[in-house]
Amino acid sequence: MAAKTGAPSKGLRLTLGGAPATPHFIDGVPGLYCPHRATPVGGDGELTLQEAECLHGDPTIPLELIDIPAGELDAAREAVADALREAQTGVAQARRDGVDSHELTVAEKQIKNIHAAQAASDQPAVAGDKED
Amino acid sequence: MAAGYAQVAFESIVGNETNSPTLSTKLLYPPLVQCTLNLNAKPMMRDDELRNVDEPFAVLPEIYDPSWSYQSRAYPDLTGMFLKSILGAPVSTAGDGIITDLDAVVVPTGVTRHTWTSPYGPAGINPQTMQIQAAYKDETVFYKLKGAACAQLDLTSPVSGGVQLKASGLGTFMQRVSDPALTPTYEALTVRPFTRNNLAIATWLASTAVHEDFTVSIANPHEAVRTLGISSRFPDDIEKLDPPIIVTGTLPQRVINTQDWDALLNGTGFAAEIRWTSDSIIASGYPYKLIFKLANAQYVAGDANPLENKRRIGSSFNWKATNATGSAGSVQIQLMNATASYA
Repeated sequence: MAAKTGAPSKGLRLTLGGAPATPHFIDGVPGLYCPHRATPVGGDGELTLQEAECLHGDPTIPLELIDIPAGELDAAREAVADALREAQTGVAQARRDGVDSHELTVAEKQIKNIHAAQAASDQPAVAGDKED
Repeated sequence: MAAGYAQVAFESIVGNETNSPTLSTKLLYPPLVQCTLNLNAKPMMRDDELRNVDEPFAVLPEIYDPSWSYQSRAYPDLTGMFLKSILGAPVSTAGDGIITDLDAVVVPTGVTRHTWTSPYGPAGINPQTMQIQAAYKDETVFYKLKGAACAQLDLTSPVSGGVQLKASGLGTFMQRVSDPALTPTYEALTVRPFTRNNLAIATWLASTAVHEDFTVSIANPHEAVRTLGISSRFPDDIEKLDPPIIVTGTLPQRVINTQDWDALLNGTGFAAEIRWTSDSIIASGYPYKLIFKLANAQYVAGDANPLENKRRIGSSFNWKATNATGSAGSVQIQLMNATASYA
């Protein structure tokens, strides 16, 4: 873990021309990278600084090593964790977003109501009322 | 797992054997399903020569007429790339919480609105062209096609498998190159392609029959030209043909009714809006969207299906986006995604 000295930490930013502001994966490189924010390196479970410097120096890899201000490191790590969580739950979330993001047909409204009812039934209304 | 990739970039001018167009900042490594670069060699046959040899004669390399074709799912980023390839550059506007899309929905920060309005671009006699590199990495063979223009783009929405994007066209110069040592980079899998369930025909002919399917095709015909400006077996320019860029499609329907058939009979024009709204969110709850808004659509062909011993008999019509007023802008195509620019 990078020492909390106030000095900027390092991260890798995607430099692929015109890339959309979404996470990307690069052939042969672990992790997800974005053009609009850096993916931290040097921490637990992250690329080492040496690995990152090698990637930065490889002209065929669209990544650059940049500074992450100390105050923004935690937010950067949280963003990476969010991207990974989204990747893991993306299908389920996408279905919910899909239901919510467009005008629902009658059948889709029924599905949404069923989901809402199921979610509500998982919450015990009164202690001791939950079925075994 | 197979190792291979394609890279697509726009050219500043039509590429050919001798020039070196500036490539766009925007680079795309599409998650392709199929990409084909065809040399279309046309060697000189000399079997019509009287040489008193009753055998076919050796052919001579003479000309090549490259072409290309591409197929993938319609992911939001690459959809814009291929729309630019056939329609020219869009007007790209960053969302700011004030601008709206064609549905009058506010476009938030983090979303870019790309708009193509007929009669499209670019201006001049040359269409937008691309450079396509195809890497057959497992076989260590690499090809580059310059001057690739898009003549046809089709969007189909099968029930499953995602919206399919197919594109094709001609090119000028194709060569085998050494390993360009490119590193393909792809958007995370969380960004979903448009799918059939995203599709809504929001506006169509009043009292139309129940729809079964819907397809969109964009045609921008062009020809590969040998201008005699350079000595090459390949064409050295791509020029637009005379017809305008045309947006058409098909509309299979589950039943027949009088409205559609009468509209075909009478050439009735009607406003139309076709919308794909993705399951994936870009920012602030705003999803990826693709919208076609037609000021005037007309049926140009079609009929009821044959009368048979069936409870339900459908119909199918071909439609075309047309201009009924003479004022430009009869078709607007808008794509909302996270790509800031296709320049």
